[in-house]
Amino acid sequence: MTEGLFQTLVTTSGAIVCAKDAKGRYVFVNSQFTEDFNASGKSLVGATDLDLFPQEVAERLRRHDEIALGENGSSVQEEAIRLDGEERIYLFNRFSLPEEASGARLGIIAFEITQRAKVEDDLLVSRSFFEGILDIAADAIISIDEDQRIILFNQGAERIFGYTAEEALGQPLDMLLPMGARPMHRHHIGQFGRSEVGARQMGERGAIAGRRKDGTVFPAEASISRMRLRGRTTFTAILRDVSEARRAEDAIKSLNTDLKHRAAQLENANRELEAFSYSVSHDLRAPLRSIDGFSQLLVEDFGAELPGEAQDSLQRIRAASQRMAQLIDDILALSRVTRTSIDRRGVDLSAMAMAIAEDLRQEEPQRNVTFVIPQDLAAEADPHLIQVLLNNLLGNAWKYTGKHASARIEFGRFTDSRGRIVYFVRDDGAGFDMAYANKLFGAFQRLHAASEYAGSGIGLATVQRIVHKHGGEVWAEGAVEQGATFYFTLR
Amino acid sequence: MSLRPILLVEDNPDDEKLTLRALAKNNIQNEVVVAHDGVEALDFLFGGRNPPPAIVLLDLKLPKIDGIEVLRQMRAANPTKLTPVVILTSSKEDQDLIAGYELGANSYIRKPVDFLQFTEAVRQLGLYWLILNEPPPR
Repeated sequence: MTEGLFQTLVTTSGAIVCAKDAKGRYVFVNSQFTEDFNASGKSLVGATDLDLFPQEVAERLRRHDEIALGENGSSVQEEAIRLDGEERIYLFNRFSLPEEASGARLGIIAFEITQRAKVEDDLLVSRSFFEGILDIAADAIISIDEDQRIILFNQGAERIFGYTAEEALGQPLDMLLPMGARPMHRHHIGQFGRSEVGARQMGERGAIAGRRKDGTVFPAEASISRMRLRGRTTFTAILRDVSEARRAEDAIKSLNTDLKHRAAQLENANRELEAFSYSVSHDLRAPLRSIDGFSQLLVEDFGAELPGEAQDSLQRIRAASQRMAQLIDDILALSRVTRTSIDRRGVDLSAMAMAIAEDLRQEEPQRNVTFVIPQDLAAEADPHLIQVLLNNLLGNAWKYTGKHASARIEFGRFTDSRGRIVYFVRDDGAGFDMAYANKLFGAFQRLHAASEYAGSGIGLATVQRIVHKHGGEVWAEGAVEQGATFYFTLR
Repeated sequence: MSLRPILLVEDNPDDEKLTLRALAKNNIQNEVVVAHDGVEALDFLFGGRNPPPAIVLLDLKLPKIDGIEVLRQMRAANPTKLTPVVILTSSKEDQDLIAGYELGANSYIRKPVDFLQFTEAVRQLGLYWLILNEPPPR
């Protein structure tokens, strides 16, 4: 090689070329060195790194120089060199030189690799970023190569399958599958590998299953994607253990079945109740008619021969059978309330109450009762049931004011402190003792003797059921001889 | 003009006796024919031996063929299509009321337990259907 060519190579290669003596003094630098490290053009005669670089850099370089010299060989090392506030990365190739006249002992060829180092650094960051994501994922993330060997096995996969990544990597995917599913799975992967689709949900042809290290099999949901990188195909599956979800689903299913079964039973029971009520209404009344009718026939046919006491007894028999007939009707009405489903519509409560008041007046026109009913009471409720409810409440008010010379019955509405719309029926009649208020709404519970006020004791029970059917509440306030107020809400 | 009979369809002997008594008490002169089940009623109506009755007092719950079916057959056949039918029964269930009226019952009366009320009901229905009301032409 000629000197000239050698010079050209050293000057134009873009590499930094320099040589130092045993004490670290520069013996030779090329033009690239000057350009990079000595732009100000200081004299380099007898200069060391300390003259060129910040102390900390210079000391490090010197240290590394000595190591290379000491090992009597060479070293390749990245060096970060900060000059004028800018840091650059160089790849330093150091090598010891045979002794010669110039005194040079260490040769250095260096390339700036700042750009590449930065890319590598970014790569490292992004790699740890993605590894971090892989590891916090609750799902198993598993990649396999073309031979279906596991090349990625995240922490989620470790948790779900029970293998450590170490155990799983390099192993055939088959070990994660139930025995029976292996051939089919291979087939599917092969198919998927050849298809045009890049990703798909697995298990479209039925649920898929995984197999844990301990041999247990679990239901799973997974999606798989295919990637072609540098001519090689990898598959990545993201898989979730759905045992819990499946169990919950099964529990819900079984609850549902149970519920359906019960609903059917209930419907059956309801039908039976319906039939029972029908026959009660029909068949229990017939003998009562006979009792009443033939008692009356006795009076009509043999009245003259019957002593007064016998006639009185017959009247009592008749009265009792009529009471029983009323009881049967009331019980039927109560059970009908329970049986029928509610059908809410707009109901004009004012009109309904006024009509009921009119009926009551016509029954006992001699009574002096003032009804106070505002014009605008309306509700979303079942019209038939509300009719029964108002019949009972207004009928009660009418009945329990019967012993007063005059009476006032009010039907009204207000909004309570909880914002609920409360309806009420208030009278100034016989009232009741609040100590027994809890008995008011029980079937057959009466606070007055039948001789005093007629009744079956079912009316308020019916009212309560109607209110409950509407999702409302019913309660009462009263005092003996001070009247009573019945409140109800309809939700 | 001879009075057409009343057909009482009633399976309960007590009710039968009480109804007859109530009719007699109200001076209703028409002959009363009693059928004790639906089959007897249909036999009387369609046996071809009897003229159509002035009125049918029809119980609903009957052995063999029930009252609703008797009513259905009456309304489907020519001679009885227009015959007044008063349902006289214990039931006031909606389903019976609806079925009765849908099939063309002229009236629906629930037998009161109180015999005096029952007698009054029979009096009114006799007055109305046998005297006030103009029957369809024969």
